[in-house]
Amino acid sequence: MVPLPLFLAFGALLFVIGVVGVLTRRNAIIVLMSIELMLNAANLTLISFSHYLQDLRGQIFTLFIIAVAASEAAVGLALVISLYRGKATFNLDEVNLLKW
Amino acid sequence: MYFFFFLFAIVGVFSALMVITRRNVMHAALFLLLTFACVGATYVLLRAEMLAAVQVLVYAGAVTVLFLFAILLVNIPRVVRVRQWNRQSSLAVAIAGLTGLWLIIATTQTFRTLALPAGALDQPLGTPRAIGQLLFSDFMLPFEIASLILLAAMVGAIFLARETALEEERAGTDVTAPDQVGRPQSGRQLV
Repeated sequence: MVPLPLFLAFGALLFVIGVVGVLTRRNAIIVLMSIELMLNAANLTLISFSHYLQDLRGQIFTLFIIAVAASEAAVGLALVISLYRGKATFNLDEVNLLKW
Repeated sequence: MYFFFFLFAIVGVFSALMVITRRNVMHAALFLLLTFACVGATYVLLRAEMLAAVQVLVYAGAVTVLFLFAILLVNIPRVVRVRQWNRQSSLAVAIAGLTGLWLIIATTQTFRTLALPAGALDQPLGTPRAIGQLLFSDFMLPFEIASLILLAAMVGAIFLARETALEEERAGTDVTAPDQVGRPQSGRQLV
């Protein structure tokens, strides 16, 4: 049986890759994809703990995270679409009307 | 077991790296699909059968299609010669790399001795029956709230992405005039 730290390392790597994507990419859609990567990493960690502690509540929590993540992806993409309609750009560096 | 885990882990991490580094957004979306599939396969390794099916259905099936539709709707030009990475990218990679290293070291040291209880591999833990029993008894309230969240997200997404009156004006067509619709003027044109 694969030891638990290997699953946690997989989840940690996915999470860190998602963080780098959110912080560095200028395209808004890629940022949304990186957020989904981070949520998947959290889900993977929850499910591996649920397996190793033999507790089903981790998987229930993951189910709710999947539901919330899907709805957040929908709203985020609607925001990106309306952003494109307003300014004809995806570039997050140019979305700076509220900047001081 | 080790072989499958390393197969899914390496392909998953590789495709996640491809997601954040591709210039073409469509390629990034397809690599995201591959990442979701690898994570779903890892759920099967962890005996979470229903969550693996939900992952493939919701993430690989719905969220990826949502991303692809959004990309196709806004019609991004194929090769975009703008800078992809913003100014803080090297600092972000450094900090994120340190955070990842710390995470991996901390979890490895803490949970090194946590082993599976005896007999855990005999019966699967995440069957739909077990999840359903828990979901409809102890977690009934979050279940109902999740359905409200989905309703709110649906209404919000439809409202945000609707075509506004400003755009109809910009499009320049008067949608109420019947002449501009391509209907045949006489019966002869149908033949």
